Amino acid sequence: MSTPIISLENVSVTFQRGVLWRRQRVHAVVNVSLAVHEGEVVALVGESGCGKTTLGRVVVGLQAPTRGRVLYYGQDVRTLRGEAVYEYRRSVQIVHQDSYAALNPVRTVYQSLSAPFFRYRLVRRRAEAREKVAELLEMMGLTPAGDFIDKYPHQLSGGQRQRVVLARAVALRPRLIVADEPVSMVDVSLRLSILDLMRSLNERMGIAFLYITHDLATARYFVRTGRIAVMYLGQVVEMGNLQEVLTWPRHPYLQALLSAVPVPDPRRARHMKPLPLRSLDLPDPTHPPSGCRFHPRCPYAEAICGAEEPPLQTVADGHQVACHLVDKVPEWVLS
Amino acid sequence: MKPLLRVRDLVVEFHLDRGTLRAVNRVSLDVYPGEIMAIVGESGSGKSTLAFALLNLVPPPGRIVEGQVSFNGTDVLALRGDALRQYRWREVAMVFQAAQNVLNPVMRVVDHFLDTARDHGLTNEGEVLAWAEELLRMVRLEPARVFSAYPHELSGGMRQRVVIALSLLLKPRMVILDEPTTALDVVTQAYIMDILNEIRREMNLTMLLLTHDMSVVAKIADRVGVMYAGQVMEIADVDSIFYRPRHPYTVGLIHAAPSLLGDLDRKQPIPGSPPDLINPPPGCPFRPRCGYASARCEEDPGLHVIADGHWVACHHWEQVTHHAPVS
Amino acid sequence: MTVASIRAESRWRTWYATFLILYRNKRAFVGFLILLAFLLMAIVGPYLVPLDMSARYAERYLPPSWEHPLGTDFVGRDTFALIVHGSRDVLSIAFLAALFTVGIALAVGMVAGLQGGLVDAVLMLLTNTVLTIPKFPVMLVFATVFRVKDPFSLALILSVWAWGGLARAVRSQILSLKEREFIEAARVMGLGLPHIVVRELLPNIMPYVAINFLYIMKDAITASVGLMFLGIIPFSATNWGMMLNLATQQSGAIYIPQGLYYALAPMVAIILFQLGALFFAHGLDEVLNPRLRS
Repeated sequence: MSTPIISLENVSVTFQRGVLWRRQRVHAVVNVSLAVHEGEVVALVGESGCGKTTLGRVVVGLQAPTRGRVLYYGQDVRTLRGEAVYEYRRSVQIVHQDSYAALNPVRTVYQSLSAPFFRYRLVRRRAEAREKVAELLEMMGLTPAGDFIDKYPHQLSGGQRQRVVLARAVALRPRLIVADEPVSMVDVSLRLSILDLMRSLNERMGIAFLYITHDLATARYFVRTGRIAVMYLGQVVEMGNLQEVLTWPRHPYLQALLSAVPVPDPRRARHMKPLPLRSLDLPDPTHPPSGCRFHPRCPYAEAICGAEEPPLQTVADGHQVACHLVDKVPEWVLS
Repeated sequence: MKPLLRVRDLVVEFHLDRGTLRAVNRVSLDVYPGEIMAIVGESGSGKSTLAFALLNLVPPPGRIVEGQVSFNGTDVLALRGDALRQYRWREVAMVFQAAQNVLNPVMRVVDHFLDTARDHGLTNEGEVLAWAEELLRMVRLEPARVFSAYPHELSGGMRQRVVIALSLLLKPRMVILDEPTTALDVVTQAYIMDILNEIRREMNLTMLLLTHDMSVVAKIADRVGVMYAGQVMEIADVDSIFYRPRHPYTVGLIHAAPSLLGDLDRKQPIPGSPPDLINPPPGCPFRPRCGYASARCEEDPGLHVIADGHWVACHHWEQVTHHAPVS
Repeated sequence: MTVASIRAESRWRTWYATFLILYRNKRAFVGFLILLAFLLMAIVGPYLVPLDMSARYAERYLPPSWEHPLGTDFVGRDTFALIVHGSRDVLSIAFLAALFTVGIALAVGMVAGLQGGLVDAVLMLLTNTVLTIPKFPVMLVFATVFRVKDPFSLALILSVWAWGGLARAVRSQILSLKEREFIEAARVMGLGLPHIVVRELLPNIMPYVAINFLYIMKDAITASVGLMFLGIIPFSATNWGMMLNLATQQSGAIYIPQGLYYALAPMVAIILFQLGALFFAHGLDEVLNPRLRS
């Protein structure tokens, strides 16, 4: 297989919170290894506070890992110098959840989108820049571009703003876009159109996506045949081909998650029973449980689960699970 | 059966510098005792404003321009002073959007219960506490642990359950829940919906649930009202809404809801974007995004009954086809 | 799509739109007119209204008339001409003082907010020191110690102890802005610090800074007139503060009913300018902040 665009090797991120004498450590990401290859679409799924956003920030270089390495085409990003730094910066972009916060409120669409063109000397004159920005807007389905180019962010609807944010991310022809909950604040009727746009960017321009979300249903819609990684309290607990992982989930946490996802079909919804967990609420992230972090809530937990951390083990072709009891956990099939 | 809440031709307007915004436009609906009725709509559909209007609590510059709201025979819009206060928490309670944040950060949970009770003239502390404990157990919280906690010591899901328990303290007949699970994780969300269902059965409570999520509707609602641009587009029982929808917007919403099962190619977004509510053109507000639209749609279709308990505001409802979701 | 449709709007249209916003906000527009009048008075006034500094004792303490719109002073000079000629000094001092103050405050606030750590701690210690010691006594001391002989040096003295509040406000705004996602996006695109400061951060705090510029000008007028009035820096005879000083100290105008107009004229001028500044600043936020324009 080719060298991945980005690969994370045993990455951990620890935050320190509080003042000197009451300092607490939050282990946001613990020992995660993950690679994204050219043109690939990967979903990173987990509930709020599981560390998925932090991991996304590590990928784009906004957050340095406390331990472990981030490789850009095989080279540690900390050792990149000169032109190579810009190459990495240009190639890995981010799309945030809140399109309103992601755009400078006092700058017009043109001002926000033309900045990278001028920065990398892709244009020289203003007229040229306007042409390029207009082209970009039309590519994002904002037609005619003349209606949008001089607007301020607050003059656009949520869906239109998110398209502008995507346009900015695409402006420098990146190889990978980290999309952090890009549709969770978009109107329901427009969500799929944003996801469709991202899919077409993937298909037409070969841009790889790391799609970070809490929503398994949109992950399935967007990723289709790509991969999925499921995080719980800072760790990847299950990873593999999305169709396989969602159809035959092996980790009790993912089974619980899938059993709880509501479906837009009343007859089916009435029959679905969420897998009973031993505790409803997430444990305190400053004092994560020993061993398997899920064991206090897991209905199948045994003595070993509280004692030892389970490693990721391969259960099928490319399907990995971090669970001691992977052979004992009853099969649970999504139906 | 007689409806518990009856709304007729309700209009709420906001007078802004740019013009008049009609947030709720001639809404009529009934809510029957003991049922869970869901109002589905996207942002800007007017569902939150409708909820405030039902409590006669529209914030300025908003104003209820016309229409009637009657609760158990009482004219809500005519209530003033003490009677209105009684109605607002003892008859109908509301759980607001982002309800976790309505808890006062410097007050312990138990004080929230005691204060609310005292405000409404319940002075027997022992009785109030006993009932509060029962309510907390109902939402699966340990009273011993939660009572003495400050809000920031609880997780978002726990706070949300505290707020739900708090809303039931005065044994209201109806609870309005505005996006009660949106900010919560999937697992917590599923449990809260189960809890709500249980409480409804045990207390014979009526619930009005406002949400944007068709999956939540499918899970918990008995009847559904679909709102768009301040108007009711369709009202029916939940099975009719999902399996025999007659409004193009309802069909669009169902197809736009991603699911874990079923054919992905059948899913599609609704084209276009929601309308500007200031000075909208006359006629059906969904017209510019609708595949069935014709010249007739420039006339307001009005909500009309097409089957028992099934109301639609569409000229072309007979042509609207829908393949039941195989999800 | 035609090229024309994506070409930028002309600058004139933008200016016109800005003017319309101002015009619709009645209070701000009144403030704008007052400030405009003062500006015209300071720039072209001295050429239109001749000032005769010679003494004519026969024409002392005259009430307002066609010839002397604001009457005359204790040596028979035209009060209106004194006000007009004094305005240039007063306004240029205030303008320079505001320029220096805002300059220091922006530099301190932005460096502290962006750099953080030790630099931030030191700069904030300095700022808090400045804020704790009341500024007028400090100005008095400076004005006595250093020789003040022109508007420039007076403006420096007025600003050297006046930047604390604005610097702290700028710092806290920078602290919150720099964590915002659009700044993150700029960093991810490698747009560089100069771009982030000039193009992303500054435009966001500009409305606030502009409003403060007016407030500082207003305060600088009060302070400069105060120093003049106390007779500490008597370098200009037509300065409004000097007029007040002469009116009360030299001629006892406040005891002589006929001298009332002479003593009132500079006071009213000061109050009018302050009102104009307040009114205009009120509407400035709307003009400069795209979110508030509709």
